[in-house]
Amino acid sequence: MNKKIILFILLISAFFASCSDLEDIIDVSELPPLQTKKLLILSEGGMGLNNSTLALFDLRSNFKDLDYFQTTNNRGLGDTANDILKYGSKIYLVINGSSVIEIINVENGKSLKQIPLKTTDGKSKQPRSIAAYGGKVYITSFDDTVTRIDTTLLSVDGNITVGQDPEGICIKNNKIYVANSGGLNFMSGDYDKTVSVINLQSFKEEKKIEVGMNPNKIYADSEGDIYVNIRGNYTSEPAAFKKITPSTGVVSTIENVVATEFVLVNDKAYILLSEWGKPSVIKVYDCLSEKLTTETFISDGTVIDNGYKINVDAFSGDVYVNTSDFISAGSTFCFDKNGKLKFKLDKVGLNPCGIVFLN
Amino acid sequence: MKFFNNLTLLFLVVIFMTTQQVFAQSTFDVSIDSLHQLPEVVVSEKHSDSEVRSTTSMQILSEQSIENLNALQVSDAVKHFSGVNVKDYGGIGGLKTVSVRSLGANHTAVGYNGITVSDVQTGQIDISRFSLDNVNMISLNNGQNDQIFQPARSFSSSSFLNIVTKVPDFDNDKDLSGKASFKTGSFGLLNPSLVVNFRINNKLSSALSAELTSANGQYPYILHYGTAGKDSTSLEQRQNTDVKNLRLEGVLFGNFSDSSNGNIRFYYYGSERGLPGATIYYNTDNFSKQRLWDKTFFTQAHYEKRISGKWSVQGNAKYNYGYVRYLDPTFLSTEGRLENIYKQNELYGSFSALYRAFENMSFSLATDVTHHTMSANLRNFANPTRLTTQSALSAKYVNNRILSIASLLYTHTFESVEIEDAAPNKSRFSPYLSLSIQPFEDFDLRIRAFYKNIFRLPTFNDLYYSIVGTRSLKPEDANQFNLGITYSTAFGAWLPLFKFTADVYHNNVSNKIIAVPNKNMFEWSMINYGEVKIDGLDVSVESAFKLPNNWNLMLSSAYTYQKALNISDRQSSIYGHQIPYTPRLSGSGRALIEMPWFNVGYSLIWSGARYVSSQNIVENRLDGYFDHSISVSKSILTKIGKLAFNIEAINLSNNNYQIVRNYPMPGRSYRTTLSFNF
Repeated sequence: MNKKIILFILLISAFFASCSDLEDIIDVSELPPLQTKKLLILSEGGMGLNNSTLALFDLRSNFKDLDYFQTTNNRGLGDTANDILKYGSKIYLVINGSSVIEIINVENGKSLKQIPLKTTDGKSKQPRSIAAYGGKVYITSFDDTVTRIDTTLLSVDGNITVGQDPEGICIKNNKIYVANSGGLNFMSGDYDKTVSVINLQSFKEEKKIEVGMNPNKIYADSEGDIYVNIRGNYTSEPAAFKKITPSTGVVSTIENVVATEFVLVNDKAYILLSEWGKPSVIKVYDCLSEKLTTETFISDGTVIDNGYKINVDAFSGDVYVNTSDFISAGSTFCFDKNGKLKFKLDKVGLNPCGIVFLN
Repeated sequence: MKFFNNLTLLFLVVIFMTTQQVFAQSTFDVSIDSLHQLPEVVVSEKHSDSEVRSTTSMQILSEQSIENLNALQVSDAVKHFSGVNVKDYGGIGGLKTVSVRSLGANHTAVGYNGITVSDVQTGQIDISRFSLDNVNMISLNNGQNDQIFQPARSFSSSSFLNIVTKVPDFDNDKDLSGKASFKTGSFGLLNPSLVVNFRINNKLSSALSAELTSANGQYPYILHYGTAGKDSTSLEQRQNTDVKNLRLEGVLFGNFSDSSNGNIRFYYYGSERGLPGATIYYNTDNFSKQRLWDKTFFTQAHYEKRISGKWSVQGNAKYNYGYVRYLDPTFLSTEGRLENIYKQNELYGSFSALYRAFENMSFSLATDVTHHTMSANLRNFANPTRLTTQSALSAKYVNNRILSIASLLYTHTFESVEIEDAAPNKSRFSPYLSLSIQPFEDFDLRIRAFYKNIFRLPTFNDLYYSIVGTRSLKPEDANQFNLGITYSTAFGAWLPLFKFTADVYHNNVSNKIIAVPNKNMFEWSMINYGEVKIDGLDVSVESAFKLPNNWNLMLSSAYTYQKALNISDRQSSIYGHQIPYTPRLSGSGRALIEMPWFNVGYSLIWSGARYVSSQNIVENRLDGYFDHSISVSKSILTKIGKLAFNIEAINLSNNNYQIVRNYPMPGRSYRTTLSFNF
């Protein structure tokens, strides 16, 4: 009898789990490498300078190629690369200024396809961020759209309009969440305040949730909560860190936490705070206990100036901080999960942003 | 079907036209051209004599030199000066600013007939707007010139580039003179101009001039997808490069008596141009859609009187209106465009007195008041007003072998705004001292030296631009030390002119006004930060040879060495690196052969490698270049006037070199000019 009840409960819970958590069906290639042996570090370059770069670092042989894309393809990556994503056997590079998606082979870095992103009247879409799920990649662009690309056909198979100047994008529980910044309305001050919720299957916007002025990065934790940082209008409207609970639609402010730059990996939000002329600070917010668990992540006294972007190796828990002074090639610091410096790479590129971890 | 296509095309054109938008980049400037007849600047001595006698380094291009320079715009001519760095974005409509001796374009004052052209918004003057039509000479002074009887504003910059237009002259029996000219050439260039001078009576004369410049500017270039030199390339054509400029000018000159004269000038300049933008890989077309409209109007009056043998006075007044509209039709805001409109107004008055106390010694006092306002269609823009008072007290000692000048400039600003707080008022004393000595009586070798401490005020963009502007900025300081020699001679009839000048200098710029992300990594604002140390050498040689059979040969060259290092922060990875866009070595050369049948001119501009940003790494390196041009000219004297014909081939090696990265210069082009002086 007891066995039957237990089995029954298990079956029921398995049923609910599979209903509510489609996300758990994961492509093996999406998993982080068991041991990171190579890094691909994307650098934005400077606006109008055509100097975005993709640098390759082999951590065992110390081989490096600071302009790996150029070396492999005999042409530059383009102007202002903003995001990078590994999905399956391909890497997707989001080039904002050149307004293209560059798709390269993980194995050899060769370009498989360059997809120009243009509006119907020929303007640049200016792509910004990328996320992947179920054989498709989804890209936010400054022309207020999300573009879907089929990863087998390597072609655009849909566009939808969202809010203004979408920035971050994440996918969770059959929904795509997009942070609509309205950042290009800085002249009028009419920033957007919403997150668009898009149905993954129908690829239609279901609703907009108001979260606060100028939302930027957006990530989901394993419980399905959505975290988004609000940048405000840089004057009267302050920055904030917010949580959306999709089941209730409630948006709550996480008090006493500022997250101007953050990444969410393994249910932890790694927050990077930088102020001109002061060492950068990394804080860790635990999304399950919903507490700021680490005030100063760096434990060995390493000083980082001008921390620009933060990335985390999901398998090892290593934390990577890219630095930028906007005029010279930045560095990449790697800390272990306890905040001790493991290594530092210098002169990685101008404004280094995203990292892909390879084995 | 054909009808349908045409209709579609028409529709697209309409759409295109209605989606044109405006964006005003803070780097674009409204320059305000001022016209003024500077009292003491009437150069009666030969230009080469002024150059060697000057206590500061002074370079002059006369009308005749300019004619043989293959120069269309003032910027083309200025590139021939030593110590000069013209930041040229390419093409007729491309922005062109001048930095002298690595101090930065904000430290270069540009004068039109002696009076400073101001742009209080950006502090930089785009010299692409100045045509060479009707120009009598262009001079460049480091520090300041040797005149002390001039407005106080002329003392207030690190260097002074002056454009002087022609004063009408008439044949004895005629009351009418002038020049009609027509230029045409590659990339759709059309440039008609007309100057008409009238003698009204013994005391009054007037000059009216009009000039139109139009070009489509669509030059071909090779786009390299990388900087390694082995990258893929494509053949492209520069787009959205059309220019249309109109200049109208009228001057009334009065010579009231032997001891008093004056003039009043009206000037209008209107321009519409496309901004071709940087050549962005895979997306150049979308970066070449921006448009820029400029309008400048000013009127200016000058009066000068010698009261007695010891006293002279002069007064100057000016009103200037400047308008800039910038449109980016590809901007992805809700409006789908970015449009900025900036307006500036300037009211200016100046009074100067000269006192010849002794035979060799004179003193002057000049006081200027300038009232600037600016408005912009920016949200919550402060609409600032700046009242600047400048007073300069100067002393000059001169005899046959010594020339020395000392001056002290006092500047005070009063700022007010309509929204929020104004920037604090500023007051400064700026000293200047110069000396030139000829050690040997019969040997025209002179040793010269000058010291100048000056500053540039924060611009209205620096102080008040939305979000970025910082009210508390201090002025950016510049110190200049110069030591030089000049030598000039003539060897009999065959070498009527040989002139040599060499100057070494040490400059220092501190409290540099730059933008940094100073709150976090994405909110930028202006701060005073950093220092640049500059050591340099300028050399120029000029010679004229008289050859047999009535041939003449003129040769000249200029050479510049500049070590301009960022010394802001010892810990920084760019400490001791050469500042951006500043070649270590650069130079120019000119040759002119005059023959009985026609003249042949050759000119060369060259530059060594430069870095496009602060870090001196190979990725940031921009190759050096040579730009060779030749011209053939012929003039015929007729009963009614002089007819001149000129044909030029510019950038003979057809190299799309870059002065600014991703802004290729035009390759080989041709130009022809027909002009008639009457």
